[in-house]
Amino acid sequence: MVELLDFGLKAMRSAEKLDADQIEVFLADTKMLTMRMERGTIKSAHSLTDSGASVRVFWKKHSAMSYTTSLNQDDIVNSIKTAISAAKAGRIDPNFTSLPEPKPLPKVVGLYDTNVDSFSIEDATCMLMDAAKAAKIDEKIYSLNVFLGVGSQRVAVVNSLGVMCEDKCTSLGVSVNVVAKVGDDMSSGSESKFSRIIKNVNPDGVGKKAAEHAIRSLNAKTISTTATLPVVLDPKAAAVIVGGALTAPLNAENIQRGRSYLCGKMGREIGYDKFTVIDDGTLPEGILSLGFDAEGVPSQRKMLIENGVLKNYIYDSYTAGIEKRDSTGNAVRISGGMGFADYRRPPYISTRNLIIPEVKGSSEDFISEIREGIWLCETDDLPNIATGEFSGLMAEAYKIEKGEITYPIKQATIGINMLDFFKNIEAIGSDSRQIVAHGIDGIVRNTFIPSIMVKAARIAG
Amino acid sequence: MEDILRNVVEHGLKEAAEFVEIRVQDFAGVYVRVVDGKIRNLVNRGEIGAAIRVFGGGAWGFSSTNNLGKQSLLDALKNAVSLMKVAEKHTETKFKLHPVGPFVEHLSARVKERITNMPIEDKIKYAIEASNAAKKKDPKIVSTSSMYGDSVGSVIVCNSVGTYVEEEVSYVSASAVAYAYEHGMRSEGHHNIGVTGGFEHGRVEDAATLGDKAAEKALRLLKAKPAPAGKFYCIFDPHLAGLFIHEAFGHACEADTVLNGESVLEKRMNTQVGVEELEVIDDPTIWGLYGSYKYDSEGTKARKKVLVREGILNEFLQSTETASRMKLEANGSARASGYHVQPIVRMSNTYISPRNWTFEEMLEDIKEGIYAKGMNYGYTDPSKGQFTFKCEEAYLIENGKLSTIFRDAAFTGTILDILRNIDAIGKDVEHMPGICGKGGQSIRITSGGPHIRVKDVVFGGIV
Repeated sequence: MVELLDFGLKAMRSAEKLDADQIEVFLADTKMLTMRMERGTIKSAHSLTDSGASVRVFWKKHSAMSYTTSLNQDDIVNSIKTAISAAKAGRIDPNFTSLPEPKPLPKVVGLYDTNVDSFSIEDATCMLMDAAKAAKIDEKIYSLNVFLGVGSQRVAVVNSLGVMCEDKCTSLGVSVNVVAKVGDDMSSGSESKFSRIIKNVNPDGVGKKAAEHAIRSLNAKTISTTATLPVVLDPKAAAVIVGGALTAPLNAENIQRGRSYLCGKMGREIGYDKFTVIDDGTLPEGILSLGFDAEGVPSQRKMLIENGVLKNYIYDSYTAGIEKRDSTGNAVRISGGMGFADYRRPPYISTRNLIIPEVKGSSEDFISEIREGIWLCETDDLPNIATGEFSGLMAEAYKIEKGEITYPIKQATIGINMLDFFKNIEAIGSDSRQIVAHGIDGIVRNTFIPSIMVKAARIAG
Repeated sequence: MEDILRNVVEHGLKEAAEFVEIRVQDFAGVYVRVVDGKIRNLVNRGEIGAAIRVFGGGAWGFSSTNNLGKQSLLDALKNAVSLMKVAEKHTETKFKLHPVGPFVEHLSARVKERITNMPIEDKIKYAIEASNAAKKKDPKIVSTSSMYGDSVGSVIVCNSVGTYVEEEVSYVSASAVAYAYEHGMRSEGHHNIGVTGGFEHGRVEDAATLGDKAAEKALRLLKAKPAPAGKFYCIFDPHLAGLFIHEAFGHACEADTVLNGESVLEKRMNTQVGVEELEVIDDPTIWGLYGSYKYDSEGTKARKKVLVREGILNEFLQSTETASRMKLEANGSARASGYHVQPIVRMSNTYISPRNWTFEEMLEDIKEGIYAKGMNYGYTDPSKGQFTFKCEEAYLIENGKLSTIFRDAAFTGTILDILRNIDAIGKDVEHMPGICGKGGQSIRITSGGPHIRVKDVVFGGIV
C-alpha cells in the first residue's frame, strides 16, 4: 500500500517551481459501507470509495483552494496550478501570516480497529438485524428504521513548511428510529451510537433505547401554561444546548469580529463553579480525535470553561496569526456523523470531542427534588450566537410533579439566555453518556455529558 | 458516452438485476466567502462521477465511482449487483418496480449570461461588494460576511427502460450576513438569493442590495426585545409561510416517509387536512427558481404536483420505488445531491397558492397578536406532525398596528392543527431559495407563499 504522504510529498516537490509562497495538500482516502433498513426490512446497501486531495495555496498574501477526486500526482499538481491562478485573481489579505510549522504530534490511541476495517456486508446485515430485533419490544412499535455506516479513512496533511502527518481511523455507527402508535396517537424515538472501535457499539442497546423513547412519549399532553420552572436536562438534550452554546460562540473568528455573546468574557466567571467543559482532540477512541487537525497542527486537550470560568477560545492558524499566538488545533474538515473528513470542504473552526466532567447524582435524583418542573430529553434547537438566547421546541419532555415524572409533554417550548443557563446550573450528575449529534448548523459534535439541572427556564405550551 | 452507458445497463440486466440505472453527474464552479471585506475562502470546485443502481426482488444495490472508464463502470456495476443480492436475501417487502418512461431528451440550461463566461474577478468583486455594502450601512455594523457560489454541470440518466436524458444545470447563489453592536446588545441579519440559470442582471440581485438588506435587518434587530412566550393570533410573512409549508407539511407528503410509517399524513389521502381555501403546490417546472429541474435524478419527467386542493390532501411526492409500492405513477420527485448518493424523495419549489386578502386587511382584525417574519430555521418530526420554527424577526400587533420588535421568536405546533387554524390567505406570493437537508443530502429548493393568518400559535420565549 502506497502511503498517502508520498502522493502529497511528490506533488509538493513537482510544485516547487510554481509561483506560490506556501502550499498545503490535504489527502483523504475513504472506504465506506452503508445499509438501510426500512420498516424492519433491509432496503438498500451502498458501498463507497472516495479518494482525493485538496490544495490551498498562498501567493503574496492571496489565497485559494482547489481539489481533485484522485490521488494522481499530475492531478494534484494541476489543482495547485488552478488554485494559484485563482489566488492571483483574488485580493490581498494582510491578516494572513503563515501556514503552521511542523511540531511534534501527540500519540492518540484507539482510532483504528481492524475489526471495523474488515467489516463485511454480512457483518453489517447481522448488526442491523440485531438492532431491529432489540427494538421490537412491544406491539405498539409501528415503524422501525435502522441505518448502519461502517468505514475507514486515511488522511494526510503536508505543507511547504515541512508539516508531514498521516494517520488512519475507522468508524462504525448504528442509528435506530422508531415510531410507536396506539390508535391515532403516534410518537417517535431515536437512538444512535458511533465509535471508532467495534466493542463500544452494542446494537441491541441502541434498538432497545430507541423503542423505549418512542413508547414512553406516547399519550403526550399539552401543558397549556406559560411559567418559569426548573428543568432537568438528560445528556442528549444537554449535549445539544451546551455544545451549541460553545462551538460557534468560542470560535476565534466570531470573537475577533465581535459576533459572539462570549466576546470580552475571557477569564471571567460565567457559570456555576462546578461547571467545566474540556475540548479534547486527543481523546482515546474519540470519534473526532486524531493526532493532528486539518492543517497539520497537533491536537490538544484544553479547558474551555474551568469551574465556571471561561478559559479558552478555539483557533485555526489564520485566527491564531491575527493574535500572534499558536493555533489550538481546531481546524477541521469533518462532514457527517461518522467523523470522517471531506477534502472538498475548506477547513473550518470547530470543537473536537467535548467533555463535561461528572459531579454527583443522576436525573432520578434531581427529579425527586423538584415539586414542579420539566425533564427535557431532546431538543434540536441551538442558541443565537450573537445574543446567547436559546428558545426551542422540547421534542421529548416530561412534566415533573412532586418529585415524580407524571406525563409526556407535546408542543411546548423552552427559553433561556445561555449566560443565565450557566449561572443557574444547580447540579451536574455523574451519569455521563456519549452523544454524537449532527446539529442543524451542520456541525458534528461528540459530547460526553451527564444530566444537568437548571434552576429556572421559561416554559410555554 | 451514450453507447458505453447503454452497454453497461445491458450488462446489468444480464447479471439478473430487474432494473439498472446509471447516472453521470458533473459540475464545476466557484465558491467565495468573504469576512469583513477580505477573502477567507476562494475555492475552485468541480468533479465528475457515476452512480450505478440496480434493483432486484425488493432491494437495491448501489455503487459509485469517479472513474468513467468502461471497466471502472463495469466493476461498479458488479459491486452494486453483489450488494443487491445480499440485501435481497434479507428483504421482506417484495415488489416489482414500474419505472415511467422511456424519456429521451437533451436539455441545455436556459441562460442569458453563462457563468463560465464570467471572469472569476467579477465573482470575487461581487462577494466583496456585498460585504462592504453591509459594513458601510452604519457604524453600528461591526462585522460582515458574504458568500458567492455558482455551478454549471450536467446530469445524464440512462436506465433499463430505455430512458436517456441529459440536462444541463446552472445555478448562482449568494448571501450576506451583518452583525451589529450597540450598548452591550448584539444582533445578526441575513439575506440570501439563489436562482437556476445564469448571472442575469435583474434576476440576480446586485451585491450592494444584498449587503444592504442584511445590514438593515441587523439594525432593526438591535432594537428588538426578547420574545414573549404564550399563545397568539399570528400573521406569517411569505418567507415564514413558505418555510412552514415546506418543513411542517411538505416533508410529511414525501411518499418514502409515508411508506415508512413516519408521516402523520398516512391514511389521510383524500381527506380534509386544512381549511377549504388552502392549496399547496410543489412545482419543479417554474423556470429560474432555485429548486427547478426538468427531469429528476431517476430520469422521470418533472411535473407540477397539487399536494392539497381545497383543503383536501391530493397527492404525495413520489419516486419510482414509492410509486411502484403505492401502485401509482412516479411524479418526478426523486433527487440526489451528487453521484455518490442515491435519489430520495424530495421537494422542489413548494408554496401555498395565493387567495385574496391584503396584509392590511389581515392586520386590521387583530387586537393583540404577533407578526412573524423571515426564517432562521425550522424542523419537524413528521410522525407526530410536531414542528418548531425560529423567525428572523417578530412584531407585536396591537389594535391592528405593528409595535414592538422581538428577536429570537420561536413557535411550535402540530401541522394539522395549524392548517385548520388558518383564517386568511394573502395575494402576495414570494419564493425564497434555500437548502434542504434529508438523509445526509443537501439539495436546492424554494419555499414560498403569501402572507397567512393563523389563530392560537404557541410562541416560546424567554419573557
